[in-house]
Amino acid sequence: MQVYYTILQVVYIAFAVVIAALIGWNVFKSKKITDKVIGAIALIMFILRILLIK
Amino acid sequence: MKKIREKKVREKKVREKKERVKKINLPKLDLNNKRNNIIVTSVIGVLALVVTIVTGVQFTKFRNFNAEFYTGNVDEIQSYSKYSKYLAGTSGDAPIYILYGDNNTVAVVRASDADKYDTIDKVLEADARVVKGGVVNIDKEELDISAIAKADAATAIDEVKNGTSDIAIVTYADYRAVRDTYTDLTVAKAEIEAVPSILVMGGTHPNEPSGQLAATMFLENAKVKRGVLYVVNEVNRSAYTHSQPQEATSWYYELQTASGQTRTFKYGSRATNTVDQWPTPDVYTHSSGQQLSSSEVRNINRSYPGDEKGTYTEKLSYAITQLVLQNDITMVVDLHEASPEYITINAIVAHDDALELASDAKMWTLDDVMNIGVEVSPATLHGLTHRDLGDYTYAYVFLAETSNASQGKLRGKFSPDLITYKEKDKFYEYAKEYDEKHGTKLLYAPAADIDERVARHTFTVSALIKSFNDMGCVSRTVNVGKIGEREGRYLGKLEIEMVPGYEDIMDNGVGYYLHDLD
Repeated sequence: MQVYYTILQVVYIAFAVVIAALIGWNVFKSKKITDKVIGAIALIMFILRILLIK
Repeated sequence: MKKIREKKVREKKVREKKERVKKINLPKLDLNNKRNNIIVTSVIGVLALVVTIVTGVQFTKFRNFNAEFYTGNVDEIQSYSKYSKYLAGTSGDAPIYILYGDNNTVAVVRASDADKYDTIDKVLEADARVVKGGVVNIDKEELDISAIAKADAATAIDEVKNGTSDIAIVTYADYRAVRDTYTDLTVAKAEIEAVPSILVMGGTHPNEPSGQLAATMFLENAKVKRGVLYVVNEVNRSAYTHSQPQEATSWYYELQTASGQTRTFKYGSRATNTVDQWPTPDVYTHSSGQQLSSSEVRNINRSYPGDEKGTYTEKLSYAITQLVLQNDITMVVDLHEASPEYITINAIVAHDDALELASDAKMWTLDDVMNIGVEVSPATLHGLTHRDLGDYTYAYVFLAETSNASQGKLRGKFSPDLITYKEKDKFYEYAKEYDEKHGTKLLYAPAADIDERVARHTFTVSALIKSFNDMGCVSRTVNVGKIGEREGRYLGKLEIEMVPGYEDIMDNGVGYYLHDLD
């Protein structure tokens, strides 16, 4: 059980990193300011999660 | 006509306003221009980073903040990891405070001999024993040391220290008087005298503050005369490291001590932090096979008896189960709260074998100014203290509930005053008045302030102790237990003094009974 949860935790954080990177890339590539702002707000949650703060 | 005219004037004004807005020439940023795009993205990125840092610092500060407690009366502090080793170094590795009775009889030995004297027979077989200040041989019958003078006990302990004798049989108060000086001495594991013990649990759910405060009343004020008092006032410390999701709760609340010092306490979540336990399955299957909603998988009070290698929450409950089992704790009281509109409120929920004691305790509450209900623990609802901690240990297990508006769904805006209910919530007050006027049951109990809630809990624990003492001082007899049968045995009285009573707290407030911290 312990190993199972550790593996899931690592996979989960890896997913979060990938999604955060995609959002970050999308923020840069987007040509609309509103999209950039929305992406940046979404990124805040992912960064806090990846750092296991919240 | 007049109305039509007014309408036309309004419409004209709106039109003019729109035109004025149109005339403002906003600089048009061409984001196809690479330079512009980099500038805009950087500005937005920096703003997002600032928000991330500010919120991150706040969350981290809250996560790492531990409420301080006065431990001047505490004899020993253990931690969960002693009983559930995988919790070592994690946020949930909460302290277990232990207060020994002044009059408990103990055998003081050199620390290096502690393991050697783990049974009463080994103590009796030792070459030399010290009682009443002299080196004599003793029998079990002579273990009554009530007549020993202080000086004699000190001499007896000195002789163990000097190596003149192996064991000094004295009171715990005598040992306490020298333990800081004679750190190479300890109490032998052998049970020289059977005494009752109680575990007071608060903070199982950190959004139920009166449980923690009532346990703290015992921790900071109790003088144990006979028996052992265990206090855990942050049962799920991981749940204290984050707040209840989607509730916009306050994070802290404050109480003033008698001298005016401010003591700060946390208002956390009902469940273990997802940082400590993730993922959350769609359905939570308890070890009994019972299935509950996924939200309960991180609820410690659905995870008993726990599992040393299970989920993080199961490791926490395993520590409590082992604490009770390994120390053969006689009684356990788990202090909770519920929203005023929840049916199980102002009540003691008792395990089947503890029902008689709970019913007797109810009699004491009837004699006083408050009333309390008694409910039997449902046999098929697993994972709760009053069910599985009772099934998997030899303790009498109880759970008590009071009425907490800050947990309720009818409440208005959240604030620290809602937690203490020093400022009344208009919606709960309306519901209370409506019930009184129409004889309805919108609330099962009116919302109560923190003083009343803590007073109820301390009174309930004291009433249960009183009932145990009055009903023969016998430990639980287990006939059909999940851990084997066992006959109850006489333990003598559990004597705990100086805990504020119901009226004390109602008159002076909870803060009055909290100690100042250095």
